[in-house]
Amino acid sequence: MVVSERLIQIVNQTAQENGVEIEKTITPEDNIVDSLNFDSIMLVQLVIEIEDEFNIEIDDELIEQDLFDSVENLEKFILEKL
Amino acid sequence: MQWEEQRTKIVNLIMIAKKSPLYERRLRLINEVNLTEEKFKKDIPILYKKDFIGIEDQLLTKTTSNKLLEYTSGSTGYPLKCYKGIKERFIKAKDLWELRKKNGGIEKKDKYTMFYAFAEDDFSAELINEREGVLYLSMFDMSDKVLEIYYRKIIEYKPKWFFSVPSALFVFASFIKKMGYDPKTDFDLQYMETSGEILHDYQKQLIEEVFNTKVFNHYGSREVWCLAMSCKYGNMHILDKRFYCEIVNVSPDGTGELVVTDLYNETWPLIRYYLGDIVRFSEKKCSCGKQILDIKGGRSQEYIRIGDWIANPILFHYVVIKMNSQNGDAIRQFQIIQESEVEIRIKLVIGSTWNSNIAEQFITETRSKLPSEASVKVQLEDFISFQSSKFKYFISY
Repeated sequence: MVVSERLIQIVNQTAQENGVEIEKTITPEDNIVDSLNFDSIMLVQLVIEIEDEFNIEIDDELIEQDLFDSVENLEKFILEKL
Repeated sequence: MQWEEQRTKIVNLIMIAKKSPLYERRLRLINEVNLTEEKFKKDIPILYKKDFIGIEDQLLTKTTSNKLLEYTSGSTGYPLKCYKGIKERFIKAKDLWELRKKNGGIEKKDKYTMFYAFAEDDFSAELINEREGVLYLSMFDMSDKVLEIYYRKIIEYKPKWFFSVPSALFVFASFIKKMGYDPKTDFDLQYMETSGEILHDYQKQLIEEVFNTKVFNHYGSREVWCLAMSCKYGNMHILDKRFYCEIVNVSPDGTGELVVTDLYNETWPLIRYYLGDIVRFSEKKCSCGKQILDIKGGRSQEYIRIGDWIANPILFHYVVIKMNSQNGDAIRQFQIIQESEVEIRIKLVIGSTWNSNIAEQFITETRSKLPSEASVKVQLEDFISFQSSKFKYFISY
């Protein structure tokens, strides 16, 4: 499974576990905070899931303000780490 | 405090902060390139709440739409608007959940219970509210008959941990002890965290005795979120990779007022921000190897009692911010004085939108939260003077 597909699955799963209903198909352009309604705790959970799934470590210092501005930004970040 | 380790972050923060209107003025003469700890403390003025109350947006350095807006509790009589960007929120939340995992094996998915005042999104304030793995129990009524309902509900809900202001947890623990209940058998909490007020020794002792679980004290504020947390040895430690802390107006024993620089809020920087809690760095080192922060004075809460009814006076804050959210600049400052068991005098400094309709709404809403025998009088003031750590927004009779 390609990174983008797996990432969308993880985003969906994290939303579901936190009682957030995403009623649309997630696209690479979706803003994780504004469009998908992720709060800061959900973002932490999402990053932990991503670290486990892709076996990468995400250093806080490397996180940019726009990392969660789109699913695509997050995917690019993961690809750079792989 | 390790200045050398933090200097790079501080210099970077100053450069970013200069992009905001307020810091552009305050830091204009600061040359961050040659910044020493001495110059930092001497040349950069302490930022007091009064310096930016009402103009909080002037601290913003970015125009991103992903800003989180929160309000302080208004325990100094002034609710303050606070902002954080997405990166800051992520880092601060991650720090906190890592500490919870380390201290109690707690993860985000674990159910918990907390005493609450009201939901900030819709001002709902039900007695019991279950939402997404959290059991919320209202502090607006903590009389014995309600605490009995809470106890039964917790048994049914089976939370893994408890999060609360110490004063509410102390009231609950006192009730449990009086009733002879055994929480260890009934719901066996794995972790307890207090926050929002000073945790007094007598409170900690009773809570730990009754619940048979160690209490971890979380020291923070809406402005900076988690600033420090106690460790398994019971001592408080600053998250020193995230904050640069100073003590000012120091007395001979080392006690003074806390000033903090948040190294990880680039969206709404707080540089040398006066929190004002009375603290001291202990000469002793903790068994975990870290420097100990002793909190000597700060937010502490008396409860309002009328007959058998007892509640957290945050209910008055609820009414004030509800009025402001519906009417804009209606109430700027407030103080509640319980003059006798049933007489409540509310001092208000009103804002530009205050009118007779809002006055009526305010009194009706306040009365609805109090027992029927309570009388409420409103007294308008030009200004309510306060001195940060000494000011009390509720004064009991």
